[in-house]
Amino acid sequence: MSKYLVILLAVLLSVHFYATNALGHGVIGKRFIPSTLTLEDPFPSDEMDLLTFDRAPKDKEGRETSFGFEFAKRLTPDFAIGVGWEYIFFDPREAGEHRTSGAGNPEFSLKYALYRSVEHEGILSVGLGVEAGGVGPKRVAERVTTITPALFFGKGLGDLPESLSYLKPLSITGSFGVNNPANRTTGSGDDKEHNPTTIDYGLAVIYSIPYLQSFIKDVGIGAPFDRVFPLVEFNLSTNASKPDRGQTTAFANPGLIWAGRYVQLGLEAQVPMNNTSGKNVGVRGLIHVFIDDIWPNIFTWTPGGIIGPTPIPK
Amino acid sequence: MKLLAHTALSAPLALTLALAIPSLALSHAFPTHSEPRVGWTIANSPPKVTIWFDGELEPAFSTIAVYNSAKQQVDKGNSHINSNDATVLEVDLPNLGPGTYRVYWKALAKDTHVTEGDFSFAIAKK
Repeated sequence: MSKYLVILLAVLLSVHFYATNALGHGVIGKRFIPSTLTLEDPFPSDEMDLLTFDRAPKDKEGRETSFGFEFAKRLTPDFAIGVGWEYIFFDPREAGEHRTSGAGNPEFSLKYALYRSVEHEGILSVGLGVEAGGVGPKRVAERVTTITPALFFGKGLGDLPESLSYLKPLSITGSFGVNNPANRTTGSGDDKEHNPTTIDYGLAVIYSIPYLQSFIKDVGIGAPFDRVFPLVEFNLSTNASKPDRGQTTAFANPGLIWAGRYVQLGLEAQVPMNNTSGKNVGVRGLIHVFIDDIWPNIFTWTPGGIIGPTPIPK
Repeated sequence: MKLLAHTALSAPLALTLALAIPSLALSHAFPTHSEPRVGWTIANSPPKVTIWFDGELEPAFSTIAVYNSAKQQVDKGNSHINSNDATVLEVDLPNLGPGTYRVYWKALAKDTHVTEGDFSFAIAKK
């Protein structure tokens, strides 16, 4: 226990003193696309999910609740690395089994922006995620390492015709990733587990009140609601290999994000869309920090030199 | 375990609170409101266009310009940061006739992050 406490504090302190700088977490043209709670956002950036909270809907195995954090830093203007970690509480459904908890496996990520269009408020990125299997205790963490190549995109609808001006504050982000387990099975005997390949995909539809009031029409929404982004995310996961090939879990996640200058807060419901996904409604929360805006003078170093702020013309 | 769970909650929350008081922090500057208001139709020509931002701007490289529907610049060309409030960008206007006008702005925040945008307003016919 104390080992995890020390690691957690060490990482938080490391992040506090040695993190990053950037030019525009989620900003493309005049569009700001916030980091969403369920899907990975398409921007390589210098950001930190200071705290994520996830109480998933109850499914056939039980109910999982987790607290976690994630940290990402750009090494070049278009390339970022990240690490995330969760502490998991698991409440088994079967009578006689006790609630358990523990630190999950660490997750590492790479993200690279392939294409950006300021004019069309668009971005396309590729990523690679690795969950280091077997690091966390097997009562809460997978024993197999999973490697996930992924594709991300984001698109603001600011280029719609004027007749649809009230739809211009909308933006859409999406992701598609294939979770490849390093081993098809782990354990043996009664302890044997199958590790299927799964495909994760989803869309987020986000309405920006700031965009509406700054660029379309000031409809008189005052603080703090003038910084709100109503959204709904849809995330699905389909088994691509035996034993449950084709089985899909699907969730709709309506919620709200409030984005201040330095901190972003989010809250979403998790609504199962089929029986496989569970029965109860879950909830997910996020405290997200724009570390590049908070410490712009500290987090400028990268192996390739200073990145981030636009040089002031002389 | 409880200690870890409490730490996992309280440490980030404490840090968040600390970050919520960023007296020395700088950031992107986004507009909070403007005068004339975005997308509104007003009765008379305004003396100037004013945009309030949520952070201080760099005077030399923050600009604002106003164009008419024929895409001719109609402001007085004296775009500037308000001398009493570095979060306010403004430009003076001559007496404008009825019509629709588009405001283009670019804001360079103190940390050199750039934001930009545009919006329209209209002056009604008498």
